[in-house]
Amino acid sequence: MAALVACVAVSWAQPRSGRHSGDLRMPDTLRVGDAAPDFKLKTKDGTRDVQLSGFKGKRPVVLVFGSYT
Amino acid sequence: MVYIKEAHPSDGWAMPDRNERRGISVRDPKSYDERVKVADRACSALKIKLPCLVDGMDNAVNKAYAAWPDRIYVVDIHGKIAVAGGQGPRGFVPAMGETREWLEQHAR
Repeated sequence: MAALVACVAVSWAQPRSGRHSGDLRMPDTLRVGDAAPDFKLKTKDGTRDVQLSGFKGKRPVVLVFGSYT
Repeated sequence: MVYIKEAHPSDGWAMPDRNERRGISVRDPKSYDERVKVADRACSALKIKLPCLVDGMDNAVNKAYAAWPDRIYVVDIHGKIAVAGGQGPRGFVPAMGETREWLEQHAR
């Protein structure tokens, strides 16, 4: 019984969120119809700067964000 | 593709069952040059044909779009968000469908 009480006490003492310190997710801020934040980034080969607003009036852009892992 | 901060680097929130088992082990890049190298490695290994842009070490674009760990948006011709995909990883696959649907309707 003492062990059970100890387990319950430890459980209550744990952070409620259970979120890993490496979890860097941010709250959603952009909604359909919002202005897309402009940016200018280099291509990975460093040969070209691409600015999102450069596509305005020309064509839609699909932004796929991600990493290797 | 916009390459952003690694989701599960080996020196961070590692997921060895998912990544190292597939031969993927990446330390979190500590400089822009390192980030470019990992982006290049990722795009080659994953056979990504899209142009690959690399976010700066200030993660400014990642933050502006709340993009980490992965996410899809479509920006229409007026510069407005047309599809706002859900946060990855759960939101990523549904967003692919929404993106395909939007493109079929608007980008012919």
